[in-house]
Amino acid sequence: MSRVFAFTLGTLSAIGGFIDIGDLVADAQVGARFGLRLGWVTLVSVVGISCFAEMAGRIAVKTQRPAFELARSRLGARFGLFGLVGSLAVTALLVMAELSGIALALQLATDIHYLLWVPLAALLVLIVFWTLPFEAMERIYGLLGLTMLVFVLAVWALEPDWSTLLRSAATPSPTGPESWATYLFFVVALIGAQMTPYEMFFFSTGAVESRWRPKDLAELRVNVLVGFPLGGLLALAIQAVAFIVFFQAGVQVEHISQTALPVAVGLGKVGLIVAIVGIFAATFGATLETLFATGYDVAQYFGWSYGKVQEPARAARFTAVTVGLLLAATALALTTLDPITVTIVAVVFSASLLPFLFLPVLLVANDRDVMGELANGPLANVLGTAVIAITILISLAAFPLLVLTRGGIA
Amino acid sequence: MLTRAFFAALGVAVVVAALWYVVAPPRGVDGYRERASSTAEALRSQVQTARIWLRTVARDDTLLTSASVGLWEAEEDASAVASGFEGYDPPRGADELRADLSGLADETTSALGDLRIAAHRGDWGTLPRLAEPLPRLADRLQALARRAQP
Amino acid sequence: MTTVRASISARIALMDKQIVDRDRLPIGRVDDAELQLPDDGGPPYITALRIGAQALGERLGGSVGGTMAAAAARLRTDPSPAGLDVSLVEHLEPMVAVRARLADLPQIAPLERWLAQRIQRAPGAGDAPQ
Repeated sequence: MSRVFAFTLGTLSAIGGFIDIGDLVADAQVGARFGLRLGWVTLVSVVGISCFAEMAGRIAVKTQRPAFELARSRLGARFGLFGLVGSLAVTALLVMAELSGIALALQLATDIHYLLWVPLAALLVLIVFWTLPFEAMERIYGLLGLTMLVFVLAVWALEPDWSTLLRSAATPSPTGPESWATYLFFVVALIGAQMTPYEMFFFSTGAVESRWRPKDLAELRVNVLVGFPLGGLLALAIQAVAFIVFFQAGVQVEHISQTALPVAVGLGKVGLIVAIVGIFAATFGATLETLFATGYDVAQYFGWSYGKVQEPARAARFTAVTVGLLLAATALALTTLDPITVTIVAVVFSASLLPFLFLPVLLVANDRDVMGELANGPLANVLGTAVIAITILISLAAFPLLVLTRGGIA
Repeated sequence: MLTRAFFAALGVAVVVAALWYVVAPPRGVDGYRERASSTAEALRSQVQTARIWLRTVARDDTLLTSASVGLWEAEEDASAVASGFEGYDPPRGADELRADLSGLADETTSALGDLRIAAHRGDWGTLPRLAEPLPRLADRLQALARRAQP
Repeated sequence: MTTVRASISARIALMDKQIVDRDRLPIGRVDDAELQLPDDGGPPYITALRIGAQALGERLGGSVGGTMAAAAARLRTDPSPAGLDVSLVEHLEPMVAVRARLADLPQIAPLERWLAQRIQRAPGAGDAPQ
């Protein structure tokens, strides 16, 4: 029976990366405006994050230390601090956005304004953080997140013209009225939203918390190979249903309600309810993941004890920082700042930071003194280097494209 | 010391320039027409979204609470985009365009508002009648978007 | 107690490394090191490891380090940064392992202890390590 649950760490990590609030809206927006012409970006993201999550996980398995901890040890205190502050800024914004996402899912179900749900959502997150052991958390959210598969079902139920879908997926260029600048902006935004470093750090810390050893390498790889492609599949399904229902109608997606609407069109009331449960689970899982990842980053930089396997009192500074972050995110959400706008800015900056956070992982994974026989083979190195090259390009283009296209609106 | 200050100032200048570019009003007739076109498209998007929600209500394919949220968001966004556009001063020669778009925008926000109110009151039976102007509105908005395109 | 004389590159083999105690609990990182010059005119040797944000801030220097050190100093009652005598170090790879227990090192991580005392009063928080 435990074998069934063996892939939940990978699934939970992937949820935060591929179907968090930013992705939910971005995927639907992309599908509505470009069809599946940006589908290749999701494929690149799946390969990229799988490669680095596997590396980070392998490092954790060999050294029993999670990947971000190495940032300071390998790059030194200054670079490590730069990475920490950058990471912190991005992830703090994301916690706020994900928390708002939970509230938006509740709003969609109840028609009660999302701001009223924010404090309750924060309280639920706090309770789960405080009381639930890591494994239980992983399993519940990993499994609940699978309800998002309703989007895949919805693709079928909408009876699309498959040749249109395929043709769209095979055409990596903007649709008629859209400009290349906008197309490229969404490439950057999707990569930033789907290949988020916190997925990798969360996965590697989870590997340590789950007490994986070199003998568990197969289990680690199953998690990667099941979780992230599944995340990518869900992202593509969201794009596809948005394409089918919204493209001809000329709808531009800006809300979670529009993300879920195609499921209602295809599968009716039951489908919509399942989708809302899925969105709730995905945003809840993503809130936990970003919250933990940020807490881990700080604790690992300064060398504190941390983690879910410890009770709160045994990792007091980590607990204090994480709870503080949750409170700050709640306060920020209550300022009525639009969570979708915050997410767009956050993912673009995250995209700019990617090379700085991936590089130390690649370096350490290649270090035979540290990794021994588990050091990178040629496949990991070729893929890893290619991914880093791509992230450098993305990093350079991110900010200019954000400004030029006014966040994809132009 | 001097180079640090220089780079800091450069950084600030870049950020300010970027922000200015993002929020600046449209320049020239072409810029204004471009903005009018995208505003019309955005308004059409809200109308179409509302229509799809109403279709799901008619077929009992949705929770009424979700449809209510969808209709409310459509109206909110339509008002926001319309008032955003109306805040810009039209350049000479674009007054007629502004008047046309304003008129359509008013009709749109009014229709969507009626739908939102009916939904909140639970008067779901009245929705089909209130939805009648929507298809025509969508077509007119699309036509204006095309006409306005420089 | 044997004194080991070895040449290590402090920057690579020691600084910023994670320190764990006898029970493999994280203590902190090597944020700075105290050096002494021997009387016989040889190279300097390390007498103590300094741990904590105050030590790190002082080492980083500049405005960033200064702010960090000042903020950390405010949170401490002891005016000098926390130090760990180098005689307690057992080995340096893969992490710096120290022979004492964290509980026996009251000058290290006082903030952790202080917070733990308060947190353990909340329901479900568990017990602070003794």
